[in-house]
Amino acid sequence: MKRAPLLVVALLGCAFTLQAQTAGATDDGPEVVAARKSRDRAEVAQLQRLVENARREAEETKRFEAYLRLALFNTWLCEAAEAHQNNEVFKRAAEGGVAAAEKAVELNPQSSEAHQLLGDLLNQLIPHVFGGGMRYGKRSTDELDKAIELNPKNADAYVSRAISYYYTPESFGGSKRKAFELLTKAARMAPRADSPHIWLAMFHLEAGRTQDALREINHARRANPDRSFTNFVYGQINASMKKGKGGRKPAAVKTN
Amino acid sequence: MHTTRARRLRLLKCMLAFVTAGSYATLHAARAFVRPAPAGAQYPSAKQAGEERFDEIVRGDFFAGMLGDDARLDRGMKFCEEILAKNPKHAEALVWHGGGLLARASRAYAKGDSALGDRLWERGLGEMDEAVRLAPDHMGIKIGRSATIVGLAQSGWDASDERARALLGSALADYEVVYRWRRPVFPTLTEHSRGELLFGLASGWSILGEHAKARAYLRLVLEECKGTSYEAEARRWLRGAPDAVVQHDCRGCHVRPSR
Repeated sequence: MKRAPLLVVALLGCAFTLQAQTAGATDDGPEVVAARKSRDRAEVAQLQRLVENARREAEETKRFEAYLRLALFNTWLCEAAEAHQNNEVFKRAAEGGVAAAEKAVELNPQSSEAHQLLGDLLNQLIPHVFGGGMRYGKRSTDELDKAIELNPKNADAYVSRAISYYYTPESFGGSKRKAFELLTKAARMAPRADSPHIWLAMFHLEAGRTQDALREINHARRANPDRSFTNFVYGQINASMKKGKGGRKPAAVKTN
Repeated sequence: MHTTRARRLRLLKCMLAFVTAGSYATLHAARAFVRPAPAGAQYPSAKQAGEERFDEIVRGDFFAGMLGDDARLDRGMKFCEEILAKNPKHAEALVWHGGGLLARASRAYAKGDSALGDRLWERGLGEMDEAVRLAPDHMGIKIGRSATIVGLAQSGWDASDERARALLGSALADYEVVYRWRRPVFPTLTEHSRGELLFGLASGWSILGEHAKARAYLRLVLEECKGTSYEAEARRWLRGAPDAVVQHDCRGCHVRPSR
């Protein structure tokens, strides 16, 4: 009996999710829809083709929207490459995305989306470059702070900033509490977006709160049941719960 | 499949490294460690500098500078430059100045000036290399360079970057030399010195994929740092996955007031 309402919620969720991330300059044309689907399915080759098309379009038109789309597709290519642990593709996508986002910022310095994508892509690049934190860390957080300043309702910017807060040691300005606050804020701003819930689920899981993690990942699954990243985290939570049933408390994952 | 979490975990160290390289925004807590330089503080004359340990003279300003205090970084750099103007082969001045250039590189990157950042980065690493070449038996210089390179590697790593691999390999080789030199008196060293050296080795080798070596150093921590928080941390890593990259945050802060 409960399945029909859930299905409606899920369908509504999907519809909203398709619009939630970087709506505006990256309106959901067929290319964006196809790219998002490829991200969800972790289809690297397909995304690479879409990135190439977007790159050509950006070079030809030199329009802000085209560079923004190119940056967005590269973040999605990063996610797909991550699913296959393909570091080479990941790094190239992050570098290409940073270049595109920089161009977008240059063309429209008041765009919160452009600053958010630049900050997020710099963060993605950090683990793939020798001394990456020293080179890109501060700039990344500056860009994310700017994105929030320009549009305090940019949920994606809150998600990216929350991740930074979470993984920075407290003595250096990190704060798990702030990370949870920002993610909760993002979830409230975009109630049907999946990303805030995926990260909340991961953070709860790391703290050993498997029931909270399950609740959050189920939110994400309702919003978008097809996303590979979501299903990966869901699998982790299930594995942890099975371990818990075996008589052991799910271990908190150490984060230092 | 997905390793996003593991990748994100590495951000922690990345953030730490950029913070130590000069973040202002995230340093409220860390700043508590950095006591201000006394009003009117002056460096000793070059003559005095020759009579005292060089690192004792400059470290306060350099660490404060790396934590974001531009004025103190500039003062430390100026002091080194004066020494180097008189003696371009002053290895200690070179290694500290090289570290300062890396801090300035991070400021340039933060402003989006990658070209300047790259130039300062190359010069900084070059000066540190040169310092070790000029004074191969100087323990302080080896530690300065190795700690910097291990920290950089922890803050981001490309396994296919041959130059980075060579740099990290040489830094670890130097750290091992330091351990050999200090071994006879190792138990008398401070907990911080013992723990940081051995964790630096464990972390660096794990980054290079030499997990057996990394675990050997973690086991050494159990012996050499018995009863300390380093021992507890080493146990946690030894209980974890055998191929994990060992991430370790330096405990304590090296910053103190300059003279």
